[in-house]
Amino acid sequence: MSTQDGNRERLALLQGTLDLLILRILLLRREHGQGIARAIQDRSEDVILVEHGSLYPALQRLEAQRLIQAEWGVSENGRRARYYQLTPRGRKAVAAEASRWRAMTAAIGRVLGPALAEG
Amino acid sequence: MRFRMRSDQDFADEIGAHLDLETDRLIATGMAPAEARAAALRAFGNRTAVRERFHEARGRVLLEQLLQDLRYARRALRRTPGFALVAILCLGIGISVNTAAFSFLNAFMFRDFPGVVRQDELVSIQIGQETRWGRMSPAQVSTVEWGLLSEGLPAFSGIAASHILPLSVATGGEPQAVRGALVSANYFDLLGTVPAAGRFMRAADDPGDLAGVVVLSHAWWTRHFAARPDVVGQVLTIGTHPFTVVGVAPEGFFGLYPGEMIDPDVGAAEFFLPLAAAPLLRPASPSTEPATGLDDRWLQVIGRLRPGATLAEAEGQASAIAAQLAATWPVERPGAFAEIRTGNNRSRDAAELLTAMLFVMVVPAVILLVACANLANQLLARAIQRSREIAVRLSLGATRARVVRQLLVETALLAVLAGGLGVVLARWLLDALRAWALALPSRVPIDLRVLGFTLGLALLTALAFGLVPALRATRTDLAHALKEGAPGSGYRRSRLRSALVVVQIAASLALIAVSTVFVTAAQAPPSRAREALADRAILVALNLDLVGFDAATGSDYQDRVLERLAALPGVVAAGRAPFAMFDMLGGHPMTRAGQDPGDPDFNDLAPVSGDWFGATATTALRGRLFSPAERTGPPAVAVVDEVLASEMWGEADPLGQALRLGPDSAATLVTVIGVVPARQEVAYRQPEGVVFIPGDLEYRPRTFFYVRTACDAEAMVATVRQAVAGVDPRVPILWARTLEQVEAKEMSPLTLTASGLASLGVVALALAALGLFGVLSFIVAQRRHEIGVRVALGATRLDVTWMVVRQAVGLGAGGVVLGAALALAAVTLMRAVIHGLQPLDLPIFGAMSAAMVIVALVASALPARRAASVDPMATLRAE
Repeated sequence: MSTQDGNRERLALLQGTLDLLILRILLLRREHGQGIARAIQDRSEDVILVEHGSLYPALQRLEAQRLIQAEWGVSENGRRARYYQLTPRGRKAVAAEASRWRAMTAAIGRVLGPALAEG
Repeated sequence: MRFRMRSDQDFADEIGAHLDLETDRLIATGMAPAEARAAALRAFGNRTAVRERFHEARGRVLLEQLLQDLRYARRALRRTPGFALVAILCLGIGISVNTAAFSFLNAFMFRDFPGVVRQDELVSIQIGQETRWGRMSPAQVSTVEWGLLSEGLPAFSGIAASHILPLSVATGGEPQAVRGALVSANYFDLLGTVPAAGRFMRAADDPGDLAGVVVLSHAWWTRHFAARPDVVGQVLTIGTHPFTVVGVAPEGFFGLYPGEMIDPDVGAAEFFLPLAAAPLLRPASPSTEPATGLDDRWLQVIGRLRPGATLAEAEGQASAIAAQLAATWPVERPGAFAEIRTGNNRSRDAAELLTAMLFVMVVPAVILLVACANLANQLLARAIQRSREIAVRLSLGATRARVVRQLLVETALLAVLAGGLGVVLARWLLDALRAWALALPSRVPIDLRVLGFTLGLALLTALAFGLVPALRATRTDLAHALKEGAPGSGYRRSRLRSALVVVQIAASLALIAVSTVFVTAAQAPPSRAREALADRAILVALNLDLVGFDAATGSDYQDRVLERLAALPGVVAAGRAPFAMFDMLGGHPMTRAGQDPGDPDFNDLAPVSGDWFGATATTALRGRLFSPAERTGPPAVAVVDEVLASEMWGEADPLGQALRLGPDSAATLVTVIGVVPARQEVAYRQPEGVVFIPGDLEYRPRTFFYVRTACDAEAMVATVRQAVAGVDPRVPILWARTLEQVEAKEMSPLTLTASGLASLGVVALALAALGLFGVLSFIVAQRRHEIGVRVALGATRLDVTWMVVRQAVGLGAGGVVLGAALALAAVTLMRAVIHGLQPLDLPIFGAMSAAMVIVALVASALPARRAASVDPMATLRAE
């Protein structure tokens, strides 16, 4: 899921992580697909690169799980876009998932140790 | 779920919007529009992949993959039309036999009968009573009970009665015997039958004028009126009275009781007449209790439960009527009780029918098994041939499950095509059976249930017999299979294939072997006397009720016909009896001296008139037969057969013994004067003890004349017919046949079974031979290399040929051994069920086994030649 866009080395996304990122973005505001992709890239300071296309199966999956819902709207610059927003269920899920994620990254950090973690 | 509702277009729109937004953003950062568009596309990645995942998520993917599999399967089958054709043909034949058998089951067990609606709501209502021999519940009731039942059962939306009877109708000068039914006016309404033309009788017009109307069967209408609608209003002379046609029953209609409505001699009921016509058509029964008519049980009563009414309610009401009967007529109806029979009125003995049908389904199942073994075998061979293709697909990333599914879809496609062929063949088979073998009032329908059964069967066989080959085909060692040749792996597989062939040979041998048992039984001459009669005897069947003779005129007529026949030139002897040669007689109570009259034995009573023993070439084993003087007047002497003699008196001398023919002391007393051989019975029935008496105890309108001729009987049939018609042209002849024809008809269940089994056995054998041929060819192909080496090392052509032939003989012998075991088991089982079957004839079985091995040899001829023609240099160089 990596591309050769730009010179900077970018991280491929771990499976399942994308769902969490999408939910986290939508916690702030309702957003369309392109906006979500852009937000992920911006907030990760361009370290994480999401192939925009891969976003849609994830969105679809979340929609099927009733964590998010969608409706067509109009963007700031007047284009038609499909906006996603969290459902109450999604809100609960994002909190739970985020804390799990933090616990896991902390654990991985401890396993790797300070030297490697810095490298 | 909401996302499932999204269309492809909606999804494409979203992606379009995404690209537009991204392009906008990039342009805003200063990029040129074209460049921005390209960058947006690049950032998006593979759009096709995204759309595909969208489809997949929507569940459409399965269907699409299935379609893709089907397309692929079609291509694969088209590439090998020979394989496809043979497989479809084999499986199609196997399925057709099962479809046909199931169609019968369906027609008689599951479907509403022709012209009947919601048959499940219909019940038959019977009134039983206490008798000397316990509680008995006859199927018919008397007029008295019919009156009470039709008034007193509010739980039913209707109660109808019917009575089947033989009728005589004048068609073009000669009287013809047909079967008819007297039905209550609401009969057709109750069944829900719709007339094909005109109208039926109606409940409203029951009294008086209704007596003179008739409803025709569809068959009669077609045969005699060319299905013209102006048949309504025509007048027919039935018996001796005119009847006006008011309507026509729908095609195939036979009411509710196929066993009664369809007579094996004269076919299904042709005329439906109102109950009111009974006095005109039905002779008064020689009832001992004429005042009440309670002894004359003649009406079959059916009812349709009112919606919402329970069976218990109906039973309660019927029981109340029974109690009323028992109170009013304590002598005629002691302990009367009501019985309501559900069982859908499908058949009198549904359980028996079902057993018979399941029995019938066994053989089709065997054929299908053979066909399936064949298919599995072909699939295994095909899998070997395609191992490279499969290996390529697996190595290109197809999952094993996907390839297995692909192979199964291919098998399923074959099976469904075979199912289609099976339905066509079954239709043909059913029509052929109806035309040649079975008296059925209408075509056995192939309906949705039958089609569903066939489809299910086809898919089941595909799954059951396609799975193992598919799993084996995909268990390939990729690197190995991709290399050329890949010998060695074939042996393991050919063992399964060989086993399948052995099973096929065994099953077909068993089928043919069992069929020979039936052929033997059908052809066995049961006695020397019958052999002497083979083409020297004629039977003529009459029913004098058809012309309304009473006892006096009827007896007189019977005597005159007998005299006339005895006097015919070319006739050696003529006799008369109330039964045809192979009819079952039914038990008559009788007691020997010293036996309690209240506990009689029940034995067949055969009243014979004229020189019946002479006409049937029966001679006395001991004692003597009736003298001419004994043949007149009330019977005082009797002749018994050896079965009865030993049953009644064991070792004691039967001659001179006294027999009382009836339950009380007033009954006729006869003295035994002779013993004859066991009655010439049909092979599949147990012989029963018979008492012959001269003349009869009562007048019987149903009568059979026996004529023994000096020369060929067939040439005499017309003369005999003429002689009978000459006595009184009004009397219709039910049939006149040579004894050979009567016997053939009686034996037809056996001969039909025998020929059915034999032809199915031959089909199975052909399938087995094909399977053997396939396996041998495959083995030769697999061992090509080995054979090349052998030849190079000095093996002769003969050695190589022998190698293949040996294999064939081995498989054939294996099949014969297993087949012998199967056949023995099957015959043992059938001998337990069907009387008179002989054990397996060993010489015949030996000959058939040898024939099997010869078939195996023939099947091996081509593969053996191919093996012998292996060029050692070519095979070795190919390494």
